[in-house]
Amino acid sequence: MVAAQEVLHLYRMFLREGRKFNSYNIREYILRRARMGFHENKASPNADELVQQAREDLKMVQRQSLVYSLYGRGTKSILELTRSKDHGAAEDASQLA
Amino acid sequence: MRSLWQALKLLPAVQQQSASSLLAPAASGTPAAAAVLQQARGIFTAPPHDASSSSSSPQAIQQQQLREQSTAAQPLFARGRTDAENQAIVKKGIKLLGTPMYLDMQATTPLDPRVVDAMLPFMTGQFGNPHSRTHYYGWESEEAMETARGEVAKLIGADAKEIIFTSGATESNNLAIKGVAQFYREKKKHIITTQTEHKCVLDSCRWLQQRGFDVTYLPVQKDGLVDLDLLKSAIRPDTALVSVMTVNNEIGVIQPIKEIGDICRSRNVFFHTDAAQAVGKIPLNVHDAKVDLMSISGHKLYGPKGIGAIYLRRRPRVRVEPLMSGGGQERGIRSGTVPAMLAVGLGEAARVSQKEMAADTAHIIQLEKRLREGLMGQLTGVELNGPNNLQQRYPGNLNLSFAYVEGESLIMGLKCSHMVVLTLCRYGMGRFTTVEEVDRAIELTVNHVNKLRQMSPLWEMVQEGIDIKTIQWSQH
Repeated sequence: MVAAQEVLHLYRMFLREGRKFNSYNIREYILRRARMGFHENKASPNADELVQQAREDLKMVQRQSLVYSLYGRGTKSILELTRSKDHGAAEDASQLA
Repeated sequence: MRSLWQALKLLPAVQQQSASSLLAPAASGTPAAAAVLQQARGIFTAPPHDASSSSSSPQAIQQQQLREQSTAAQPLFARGRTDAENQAIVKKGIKLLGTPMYLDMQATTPLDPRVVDAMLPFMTGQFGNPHSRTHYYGWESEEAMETARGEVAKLIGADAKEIIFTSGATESNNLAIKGVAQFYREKKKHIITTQTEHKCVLDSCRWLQQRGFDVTYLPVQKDGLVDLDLLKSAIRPDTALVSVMTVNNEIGVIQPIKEIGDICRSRNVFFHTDAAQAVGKIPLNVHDAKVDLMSISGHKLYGPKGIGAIYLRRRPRVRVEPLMSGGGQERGIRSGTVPAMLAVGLGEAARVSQKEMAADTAHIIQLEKRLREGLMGQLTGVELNGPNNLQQRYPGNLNLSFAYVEGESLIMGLKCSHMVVLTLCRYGMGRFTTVEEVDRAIELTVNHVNKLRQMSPLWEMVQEGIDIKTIQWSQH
């Protein structure tokens, strides 16, 4: 049987590694998908397989987080830049030159 | 005073000058020092927003001029953010402060990180030519390519031997239409397609018309669906091929592929479908749908650009005359070295799509509902282009018309607000679209539509209660 500790650890690692992605869309996808995947399969019978799959997916996330940090876009998404501020500021700030 | 000098030393202009000329107090008048000090003053008293909103005092005008001279200075201190984050990108007359949101998944999709992960080994160490039969590099590339082929086949319910890699769905479409027509041209001279097909299909049909083939372009109904009775009546004894796309890229309508397949099978006509927008998004099976040829595009299912595939049925065998012959690769149907890295990417994209299809569909349905209800709730005069029923329309493609608003103006306005990029008021959502993006899209669209409507004389007239139909438009 798979230890609940390990599953929890894997989940936390997914969230932690996912947050490191510098691409807004990919980061949000990983967080959403990990949350969904771990919640859905909480009581799944083939937990061993899923955990093995999760371990491999986690390694993939770690590798790709590095690749995207090297080659991804330098600038942040407009959604991140204007999240906490008034949305109107983003519109006023971008002008036709 | 000390800190001011230290700060001044950081200015590039100061570093160029000798230290001695700056030891004199600020009031002394060497022009260079004065300019430097002015610049420093400008920086330290810069208001926290853009030049356009500064007052008209002489100091402010000077600051504005200085700011326009030195783009590095203004954003650096403007909001207390770092240099990298504040560099505005200026492209085609639009200044962008951040990466725009991407809502055009029908044009292309980003690579899934799993696909990038699968492709990187073949871009670095495993660079062999899959057609090299004599050494290890070739063997490993070939094995990867065949695995990818198998994954693509599994996604559509086919056999791996029936999948040929091409450079994309455009090439697959050309190959299907021109290839089948040319091969069977002795006895069959007629092709049927629809008016809403992709440009490459329509161009291929026109090319065939110029070489003596007859082509029937079936009209579609108001919601984009093909009329099956019209199709039945259009089939002639010398019809070689019927080509109808599975999911339309403009309005997202899902054609009744099973019914069309039944009709074609009963009348002994080949059925080709351009499934570029459908593969990996809706469940497809070439045997259930009785499809004989299918075009697959890599970059529409979160795979790489430059690769696609064509499915050619083997039982009963579909023969095509190759476009790229002479070389013999891919069973002589498509010569040229198969790009192993791209094929592996396509295979991985297919595998991931199959695994994630249910989750993606649920997510996209939720996003589409939110977007549609948000826009229709906050605006009047919004019309959905395409069938309302989600069984007949792919939810990731939401095409709306806004009354009294010109499409081009709306797109231009949204571009400046960092929203990419609907063409023709089409919102393309996919696996990586977030709820936040949808909410922002609703907000921006509502703002811009209202803004444009305020400027529209037609809208004014409608608000006053004038019936548009009673207006006599004068001819110029």
